[in-house]
Formats: sequence, structure tokens, C-alpha cells
Amino acid sequence: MADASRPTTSGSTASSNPRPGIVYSATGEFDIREYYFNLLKNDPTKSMPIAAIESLSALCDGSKAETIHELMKTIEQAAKTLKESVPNPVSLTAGANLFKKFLLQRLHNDPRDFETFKKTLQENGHLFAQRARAARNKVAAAGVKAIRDGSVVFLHGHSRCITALCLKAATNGRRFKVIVTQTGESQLGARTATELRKAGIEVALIPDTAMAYAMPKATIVLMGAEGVFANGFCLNILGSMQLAMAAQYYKKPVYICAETHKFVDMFPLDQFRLPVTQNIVNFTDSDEPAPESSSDKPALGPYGYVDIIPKDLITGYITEIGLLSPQEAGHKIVMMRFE
Amino acid sequence: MPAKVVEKIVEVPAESKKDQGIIALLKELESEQFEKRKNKDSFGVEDAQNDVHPSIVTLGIQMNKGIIRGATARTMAMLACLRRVIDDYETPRDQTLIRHLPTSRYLSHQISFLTSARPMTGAMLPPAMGNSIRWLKTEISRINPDLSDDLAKRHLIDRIDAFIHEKFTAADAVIADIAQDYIDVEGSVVVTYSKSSIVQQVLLRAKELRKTFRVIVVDNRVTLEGRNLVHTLVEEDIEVEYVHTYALDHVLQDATVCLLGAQSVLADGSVCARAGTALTAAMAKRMNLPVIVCAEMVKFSDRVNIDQIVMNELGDPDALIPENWDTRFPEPGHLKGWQEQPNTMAVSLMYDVTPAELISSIICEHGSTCPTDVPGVTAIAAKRE
Repeated sequence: MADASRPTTSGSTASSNPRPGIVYSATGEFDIREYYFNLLKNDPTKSMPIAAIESLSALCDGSKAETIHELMKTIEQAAKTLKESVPNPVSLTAGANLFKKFLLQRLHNDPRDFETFKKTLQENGHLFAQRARAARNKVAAAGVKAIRDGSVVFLHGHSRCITALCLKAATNGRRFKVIVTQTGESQLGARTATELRKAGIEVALIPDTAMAYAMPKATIVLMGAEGVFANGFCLNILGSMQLAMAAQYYKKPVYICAETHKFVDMFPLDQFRLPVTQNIVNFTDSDEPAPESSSDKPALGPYGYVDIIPKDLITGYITEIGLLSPQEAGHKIVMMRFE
Repeated sequence: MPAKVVEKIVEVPAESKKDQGIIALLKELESEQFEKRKNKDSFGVEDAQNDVHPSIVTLGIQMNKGIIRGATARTMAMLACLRRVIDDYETPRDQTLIRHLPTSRYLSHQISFLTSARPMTGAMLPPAMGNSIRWLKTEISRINPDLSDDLAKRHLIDRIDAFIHEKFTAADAVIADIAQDYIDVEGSVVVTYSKSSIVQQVLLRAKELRKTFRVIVVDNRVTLEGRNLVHTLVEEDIEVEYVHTYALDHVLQDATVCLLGAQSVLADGSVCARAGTALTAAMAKRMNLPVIVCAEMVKFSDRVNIDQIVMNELGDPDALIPENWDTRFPEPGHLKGWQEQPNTMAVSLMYDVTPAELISSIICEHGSTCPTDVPGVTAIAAKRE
């Protein structure tokens, strides 16, 4: 490929990238997209922000950058490339921002001792992943209190956090039942049902259309999140807002379980103000399926459709730092700008 | 028993009933205004004491007559005047600049003239002006005492220029860039109230980015400031619809976002803005539209308003009464000759307070924030200064 022999300054060639997801730098090319998706494929328990952090720190490992400035530029470029190569970059943006912030904070330590800096960086990239896993367990521990004896928990889709929470509640001896929706074409709800039934929890798998119908039977609604935003809103699998609305009608509490590494500084005030490419509403006068949109960016398939839950519909966020109101969660994100 | 209650109300003497609550407060403000005018028809040069700088006198009168309106315009005009004041300043022989300039003998003296010029506010300037003055005084106190007066003055003037650039010009550009994102590339309908310079900038920025959208300008009968905005937008070839508040419900049916300006942002996240803004925000919120307020950090106040009278400004009450009154309303009822009626008062308040619950986002130069973030953001920004 002609690009391998391009000028060797880091990050300078990326504007003319012929293929998505590849970062060109001093060390040649690094397919950060493939690395990222391999991480997700090889370890299904890994969440997207963490995979993004690990991909970026792998890039740092391989980078021959000699100054911090050069390294930052490569990372900046890589994060941008990665974001552009996926249709829903929200959660990986959260991870990338966290990593960049971490770097910037360490920058002040000693800018001259670059080798030590790179070493701590490598160590910390892996520390992040460990912490993330620990965070999920902490969320589960905090959320267990939400499930009381005799309660019926309403779930939607599949969330590692929620599954861990339910399993923990079951091992703690809580007696509760679960209602879960099938969740669209992805059938993620069915996966949740299977996992929970294996642990001896009684689960009712209902069609999505029965969301409102089944709501009176529930005592609490629990959902995971792909991202939590600075206005206290959160992003989740399509149908989440519907479920939250049904819950509001019947005055059931809605808790969102999310680790703080999913907090991301975006401020979407409605469904369409997201950096997510998905074509759900297509007007057409033929019965044929709508043609693929011709934009360069890949669009989400039905499996990955998402929507936003407004903060008015959310009772609270269960995180590893405790229970937060939507305002508090948003405030934490806004304050991160000043760190 | 209802009958008893009625009896009781009847027993209350008419005199004391009239002077309760808001009415009493307004009466007090009115008499204060009367005092201020000292039986003269208008505020003018005579109200200024000897050593008030001519540019400040001019600005005071312009503010009093409503020729310069809006927090941004007034603050920028004030800073421009203070720039001239400092340029013309000469330190008295037995004084030093640092000790003399900021005190009540000079700078504060100018400021108190401006305060008195603004009709009916109590003894306060709006936060944008107050914050700017506080900043200027801190700047003066930081001057190296070894500096010659000329150099010190030069330094202050440079700092004022930098302040205007940083807090208004640059901040507005950042805000416009963030806020224009809430307007779609195609098909957005923006509703805005009266005229705000920053909202105008947001709309022009969106136009610059080749977005096609429609603007609904909601206006009131008293200030008619919305017309200026309509004028600018039409010149820029933006589709505009102009209505008065009574048509709000009708036009909001197809609006997609509500963009508002502000005079000040209070510490509890509520927003003080041109009277009628709260109504617009409430109606937009009722339709679950995103209600976005654009305000520079310099407008953020550390105060909270409990009522809407204190810190407000009284406009011309006659503006409420249509001029061609007799032809349009053959039977004017109680309002005709209201000045002569002993138990009638007309009050034209210039500002109102939009409660934080109605606001989805306040956009300042630090990005989008929720109203609940205001105290935190203000504190951190103050710490950084």
C-alpha cells in the first residue's frame, strides 16, 4: 500500500485515510478498529468504553512517539478514527475521553521523563480494565438493595450489569421474579431470560408490545445504559424510553444501572441530537425494504438501534459510587470538564 | 362557613387592603422613582454630579431612556465608557492611582450615577455589569504600584479590551457554535422571544452553516424588540414568522426547539430575561420542547431572586395603554385616564424570572449545562479567575 511510505510524522496523514479504522503513524499502520472489535469478540464480558481504552493503550504500546505531544496527537487521531468507523460511538467516546483525561493529568507530572511516562501508561491501560470489572460488581452490590423480597423486576434487553445484579440478589437469597421483554430483532431479552432462569430465577418473557400491559405486575424497572449524558439523560437499546414512559404511567420507579466510565460529556436534548447513525423512520411508498442510505458512515442495523431516556422519566442511577439522581449524575459529568 | 368569610372581607377597610403584598411593594417602588425624578419629567444631565465623566452621563441617559437595551449591549457600552474614563483620568497630586481610581471618589462615583440612571432597580446593577465592575476593580488592585500612571492606564485599557474580547466576542462565538447544533440541517423550527443578541448570533451561525430552518419570533406589545431581530433575519434570507404572545399556543404546534437569551442567570438556575420569556418557556416546556438559554458566564449571578420585583426594572407604564385607544376601544373602561384614578396603577415590568424547572439547558462558554449545575460552574469559573 502506498500509504506505508507516506511521510512519517504521526497523525499527519490521517485526513486522507483510504480505509476506515486505520491509524497511520510513525510505526506504520495500526488497525485500531479491528483491534477494538477483536477485544469485544474475544471477551464478551468486556464493555465498549473499556475496549476503547485498551485499544488506545495498545496503540501507545506500539507507538514510537518520542514526545508527549506527538503521542497525544496520535491518540487524538486514533480516537477520532475509531469514532468515525462505528455507527454508534457514544460509549467508546466515553472510554476515549477518560483515557485522554488520564493522560493529560499525568502530563503535568514530569514532561521530561517520557520513558517512565510510557511505562506507567501501559500499566494503567490494563488497570482500567480491571477497575471496570470491579465497578460492575460494585454496581451490582449497590443495586441489590433495590430488589426486595417478593418484588417483580421489569427488564428490557440485556445488560451485563443488570444480569450480575439479579444473580447477586438471587445468591443473597432474595425471592423475586423477573419480567423481560423479548427486545426487538436482537432478541437480547431472550438471552437475559435464559441466563437468569439458569440461576433458578422465575422469568416471564413477554413480547415488546406487552410492555405497558405487563407494567402493573412489576414493582421496579431496571435498565442498563450505553452512555449517561451531562443532562442526566441516558442512551439505551431501542424501546427503553417506551418502557420508562409505561413505568411513569403506573408510577413505578425506574433505575438505570451504569458504571461511571459510561459517563460521557454530550448534551443531547432529543432523540435525533445524537452522533448515532440509524435510519429508523423511513418514509416510502413501496412495500420493499428501504434502500441502504448512501452516506459513508456505516448505519446501525436493527440489532443496535438505540434511544434516549429523558431524565424526567428516570428515578435514579445506580453506580459504583452509589445511588445518584439524574441531576447529580449530570452534574458530575459537567464538573469533569474542569478537572 | 362561606357567609362568614364574606362578612370578614367586607369588614376590612379599603385603605389597608390596597396596600398589601405586591401592590404595596410597587407603590413603594413608584414613590422611590418619584423621589429619583425629583418632580422633573425626566432624567438628564442635571442629575449628574460635577465629576461624572461625560461619556458616563451620556450612557446613563441612554440607559434611562431605553435607547441602549439588553444586558450585553449595556455592559459592553459601559466597558467602552470606562475605557474612556480611565484614559481621561488624572491622579490628583497627593494620591496614587491604585488608591484613588477605584474608590467612591472616582470610579464608584461613576458607577453610582449609572445605578441611579437605571429606572427602578433598587441599588443594583444587573449581574453582567456588576461582575464586570468587580473584575475591573480587582484588575486595578493588581496593578504594580511601581508602574507610572500612563503605563498603568495603558495596561488597564488593554485589559478592558481583552475582557470584552474574552467575555463577549469569543464567548459568543463559542456559544453560537454549541447552540447551532440544536438546529437541524433541515426542517428545524426555532421559537425565540423578543430579541437577544446571542440568539441572533446563533441563528446567523446556523445560516452560515447552510442549515435551512424557520424562526418564530414572539414579541410583546411594549418593547417591540423582536422586530429588530426579524429585520436582521429577513435580511439574511431566513424564513421568519412574527407573532405576539397571544399566538404562542398556535405557533408552538410545529416548533422543534426554543432558544432564549438572558439578562442574568441566577444561582438557583433560574433565568432573568425580558418580561414574557417565562411565559414562552412555560408554553414550550408544556410541549416538551427543549428550552435552551444562551448566556455568557459574565451574566451568571451568585444571587437568588425570591420575587420578581426586586432587581426588576420599570418601563414606561403608558406603553401599556394603546395610543389610539379611543378609536380602537370605544369603551376604554377603567384604563382611560388611569393617572387620575386614585386606585388604579399601571406597571410595566421589564424582566421576569423563568424557573429552573422550565429550562433544559443553559449554554455558556463552558458548554451546555443544566440549570442545577449553575452554582458549581460559577464557583469553579470564579476560582480560576
